[in-house]
Amino acid sequence: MICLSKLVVSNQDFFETIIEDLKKGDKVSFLVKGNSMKPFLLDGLTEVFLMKKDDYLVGDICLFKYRDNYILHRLIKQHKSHFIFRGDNSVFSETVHEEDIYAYVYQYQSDEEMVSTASPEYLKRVRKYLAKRRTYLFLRRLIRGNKR
Amino acid sequence: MKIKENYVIKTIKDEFVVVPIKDEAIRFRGIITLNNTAKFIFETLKNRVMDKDELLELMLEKYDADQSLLEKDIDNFVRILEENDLLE
Repeated sequence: MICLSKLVVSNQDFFETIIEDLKKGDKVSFLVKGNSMKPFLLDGLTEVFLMKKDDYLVGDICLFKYRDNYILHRLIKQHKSHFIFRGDNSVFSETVHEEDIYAYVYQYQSDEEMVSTASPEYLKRVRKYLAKRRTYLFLRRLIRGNKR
Repeated sequence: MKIKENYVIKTIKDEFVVVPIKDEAIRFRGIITLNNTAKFIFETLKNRVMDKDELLELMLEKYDADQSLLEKDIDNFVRILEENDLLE
């Protein structure tokens, strides 16, 4: 009996297949799950396009493995062989080694619009948002510190 | 009939899935799964043009199954391929 249906797979299995293709040098795309990269990437609405590269730069949104989970967050700092990531909408960061980074988002599609992550408009929007976010996180730490 | 060039089979865990390649990327969204029989038909139609009778003949050689059941399977599968715009 022939069966052709929608497939539900675990994140682990899904990303292992994707990473295999990325390692071969293929470009892949998938729909974003979760809102930790809001306002740039939206749950179930944004399709991200990824490929690997040799040098990941601060500001890149990367796919990496952290504590056995596959995560798509922005590189915010690099210190020697350690790379520090944080979701644009997250408070906590993740520190990972270079070998656990698989690819970066070179473009994404939201609302029918394809956005290149190398475009000046996108980079300007990211800089502006991250500056606001840094202020928010700084004030948050300050307020929480004063409460203790 | 023949499967369009820009569709490929990928394996996720033990499942076979069909995904499109569009804008140079393998696009893992709205993926569909195939069982072994469907995978056989997909791979056959991916590699060569065939009509339903030729496909039935090939499947009768490969599977020990009732002809009417195989015909029904082929019809169902072709309909699904058409609905998903996978045929040239």
